[in-house]
Amino acid sequence: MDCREWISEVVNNARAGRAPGAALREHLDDCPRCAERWREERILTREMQILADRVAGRRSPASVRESVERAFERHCRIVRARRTALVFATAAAVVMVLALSVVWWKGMSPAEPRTAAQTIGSEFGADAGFVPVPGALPLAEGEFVSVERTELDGAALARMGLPLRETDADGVVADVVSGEDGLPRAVRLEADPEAVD
Amino acid sequence: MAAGRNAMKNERMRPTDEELYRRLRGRDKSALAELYERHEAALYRYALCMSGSRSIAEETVQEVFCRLISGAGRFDERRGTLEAWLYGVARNLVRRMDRDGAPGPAAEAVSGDDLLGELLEDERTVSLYRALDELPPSYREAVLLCDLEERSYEAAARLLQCPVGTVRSRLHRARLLLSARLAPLKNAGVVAGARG
Repeated sequence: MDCREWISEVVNNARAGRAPGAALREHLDDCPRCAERWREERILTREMQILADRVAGRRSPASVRESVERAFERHCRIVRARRTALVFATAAAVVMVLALSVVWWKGMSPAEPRTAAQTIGSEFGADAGFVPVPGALPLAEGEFVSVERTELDGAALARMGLPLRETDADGVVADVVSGEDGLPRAVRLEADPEAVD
Repeated sequence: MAAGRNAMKNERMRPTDEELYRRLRGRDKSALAELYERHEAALYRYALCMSGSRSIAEETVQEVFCRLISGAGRFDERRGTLEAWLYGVARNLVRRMDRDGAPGPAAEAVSGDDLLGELLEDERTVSLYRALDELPPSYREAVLLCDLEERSYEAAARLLQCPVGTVRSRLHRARLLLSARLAPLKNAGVVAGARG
């Protein structure tokens, strides 16, 4: 072992207050440098012990503990407030999602089918002698309509699903209400000439 | 014998710092009280010896526990013990306060509000304390933990989060420096009485 390694032994023994072992004692007898270090380490250990005794048992004043406890209470209040806010925010979000879902669901649910008869104004309604063309598309709100007098044959009347009279086989004069798309929405047949007669 | 067994049983039943920390996170005030009891005094002495200032030491202890409570710089069990985390925070706070020019020992000594002031009656201790104060902080830390707090090299290494060999070598060098600084005083008869 060289002196560097012995020094480690010297420090450890001095710190622990142990007497040097036989091997170390022999080295200390032979090495004045290590023997001097041994003396210094023992002195230092004693001085250190005195300082340790003076410092031991020192504590921070009670005011520090009180401050820490106040900080803890404050922290708990903040956490509680945050949690309450979180609960309210979550509840509000749930309510909003539910409300939006209801609105969306209602918006997406299929509307009752409307017919041309429901959308044609009274001007072209049954009172005016018009018969809605069955299955015709409804008129859009504000859609312009046109009324044309034309001659329809029996087949055309049948295609439009209108009742046929015997006299209509060769054709009949009719007023046809058409939407902007040109498709017929209602038809008014001219009065039966025979009936008139 | 029975008392020894009871002490061991109590030790086993004693919650670890980490368990107490988890309870503290769940806002358990008794866990805070227990952690404070366990670590406040040692942290205070550490900050006091590292800074030499009682006000810095008090502020450090308060701030360390406030950070523990608030979860600032959150403690992570996987990265070390809670005690090491507490010392790490204390070390950084002392360094920062020293750097920021918090009222140091010199300013406080006037009012007798520092450790040195309290030791002035004992010349031998003052000499050692002054020599200790002049050591580099990493050496001073090693002396403080191993010699003044009487922790093992392993325990000090855990707190300082460095290898055991580093603590040992720092302590040996620190002691050599201390002896060298005390030698002139010893020769002049200031550090007297304890020679043997």
